[in-house]
Amino acid sequence: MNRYLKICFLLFGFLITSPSWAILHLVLTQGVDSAIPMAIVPFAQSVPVSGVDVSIIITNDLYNSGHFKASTSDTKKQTPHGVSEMNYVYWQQQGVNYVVIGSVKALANQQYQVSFALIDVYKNQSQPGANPQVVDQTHVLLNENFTVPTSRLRPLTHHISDMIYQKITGDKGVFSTKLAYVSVQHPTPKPSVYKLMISDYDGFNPQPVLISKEPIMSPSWAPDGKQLAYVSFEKRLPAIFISNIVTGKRRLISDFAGINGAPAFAPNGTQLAIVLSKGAQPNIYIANLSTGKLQQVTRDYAITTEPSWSLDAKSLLFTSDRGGSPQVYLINLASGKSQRMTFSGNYNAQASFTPDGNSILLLHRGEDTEGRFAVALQDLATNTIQVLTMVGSAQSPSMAPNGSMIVYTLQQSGQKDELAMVSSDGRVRLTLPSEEGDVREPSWSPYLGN
Amino acid sequence: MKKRFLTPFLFAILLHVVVFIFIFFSISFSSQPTSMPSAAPEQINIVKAVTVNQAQVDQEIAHLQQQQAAAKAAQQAREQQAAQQRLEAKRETERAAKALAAVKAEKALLAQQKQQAAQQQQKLAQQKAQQDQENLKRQKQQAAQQELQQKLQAEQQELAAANAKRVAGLVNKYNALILNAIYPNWIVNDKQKNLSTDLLINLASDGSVLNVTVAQSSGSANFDRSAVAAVYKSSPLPVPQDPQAFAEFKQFRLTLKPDNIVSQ
Repeated sequence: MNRYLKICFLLFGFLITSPSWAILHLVLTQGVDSAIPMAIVPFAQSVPVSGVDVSIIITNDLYNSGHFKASTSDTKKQTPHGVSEMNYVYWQQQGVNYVVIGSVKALANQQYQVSFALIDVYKNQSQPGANPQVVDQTHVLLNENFTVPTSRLRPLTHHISDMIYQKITGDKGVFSTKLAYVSVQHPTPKPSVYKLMISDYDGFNPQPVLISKEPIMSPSWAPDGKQLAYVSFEKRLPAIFISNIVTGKRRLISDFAGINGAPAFAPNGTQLAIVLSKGAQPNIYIANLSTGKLQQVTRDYAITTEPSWSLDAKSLLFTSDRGGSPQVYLINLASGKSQRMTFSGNYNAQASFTPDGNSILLLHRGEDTEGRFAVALQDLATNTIQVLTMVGSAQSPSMAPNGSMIVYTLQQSGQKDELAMVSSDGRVRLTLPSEEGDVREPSWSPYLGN
Repeated sequence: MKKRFLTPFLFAILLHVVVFIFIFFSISFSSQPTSMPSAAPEQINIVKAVTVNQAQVDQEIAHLQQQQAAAKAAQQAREQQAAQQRLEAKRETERAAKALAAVKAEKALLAQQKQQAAQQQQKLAQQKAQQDQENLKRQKQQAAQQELQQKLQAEQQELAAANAKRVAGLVNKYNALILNAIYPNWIVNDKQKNLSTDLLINLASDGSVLNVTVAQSSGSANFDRSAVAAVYKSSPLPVPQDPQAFAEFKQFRLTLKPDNIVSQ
């Protein structure tokens, strides 16, 4: 009897504990799309370099992308500069996922040695009892060393930001890309000065490409990142030029009677879509840059302008008021047939495809913007419009080649036109520093090989 | 058995008959009818009274004496024979009696045996009955025992089921609590929507995350890192106090796949 009972109990014991044979399995299907918190520890810097604070540039770059809640650590408690000095528990308690550390050492001949490391505060595999003095390589995602002259310190810093960005997000960073834009200075009593400018993506390091007393408009990058197409009124009438920013050479593309405007390089760089009126209604043409041949694309009696190439170069987005208000259309170059793309809002223009081809970036005005011009993204699958800018009036949106940020002209009453940036998720908005005068019509460069 | 005694019995009778016949004939051969030895002296006396010739008489007497002696011898023989026969008969009777006794004894033995057999049978029957009864009793007992065991089992089962239910309830509750604790720390984006990673998580009894291992990588190091960091950042996780329920969370698998991404 007793034995029997014991066996019974044993059996029941098994039944009770049986679920523990199969390991408990939880499934998490919800996450948050938010900025990744990370700390940038001020780099050890023996001699300050004027205008270049590596830690702050990296912090700004990462913050600007919208993907990071990046901040320069201001504590004196923990200031590691090398991997071996990391106190992981401390940084875990700070709630950050990553830490960037490094140092800038002045060498002879105005050279600097810059080293940095990107550290994952949470290891993939813990090693209980591991010697804390032994550097755990799984923490260290990047650990690099560079030697550059002073002039290359800022570009190198952007390059470091790119490396960090790519390591964490898997996407190429755009911190080494450039912006082209037009600045207008209105000195009194002298006449206005128009400049075609190129700067770093963050507005630093501005360099003029062309200076003119007549308006300059619509700069557009060639896919190789070495040429800019633009409209210049330097001969009092609009004409389209292409400038090589490396050699400084310039080439006239079109100076027909009437409108010559809105140049847009084809993805392969051999064709340029332009808008010509030739004394009548403006229509879209394609100029073959090697043969000089011109091909008319649209034959509308309404205003047709602002062409922009599809990723496969088989069609063009453009703006037309053929429907009564400016709206975005897509024309198939082979068939010549066009279709309307935008239906929401009473003004949609300046459209371009996003680099992933899933959306259209555009200038949008509707009830959802309370009558303001705003930067917006229209999802091509759902046609829903996401408004990204909430303040002032936007113009000329242009997207970074990785799709993470958009630069545009911000106009606010009583203020100069300035360049502003918004991350593609709308999370980060900032204005770029500018010199005197208005800055407008920004165009984001492609990735630049350097 | 009767036959066995019948033959000597008949033989005894036949022997008697033959002896009698022999006695009868021996008497008829003699000239004197006297068969009784007691009568002879009377005859002698009678003869004496009529005396004729002494010689003759003497002869006669001798003859008579001879006869008498012969008769006497005969008588003696007969008597001896009779005695013998009597002895014989007696022996025979004794033998018969003996046989009878033997038969009787045998009969008694038989009866005894019979009785014994009967007794044994009865005993057997009794034993059998007893055994049957015992069996029945035992069966009954077993049935009762079984019933008791079943009852106990049912009770145990009920207890176990109740316990399992309680544990399962706790496990479910803390499942939800743990997922709720981790999700705000899990930073993902739309591009990662189709990815999924499996982690093995070890917890201390206070819910502290001891160890997170990627059991099945998503193929994207960034995505895996985001999952691992989310778990570590949620440490300590809410865990049940109940040791049985906690045992489930000591080590568990967590699959992270961002079907739903909340914008912040």
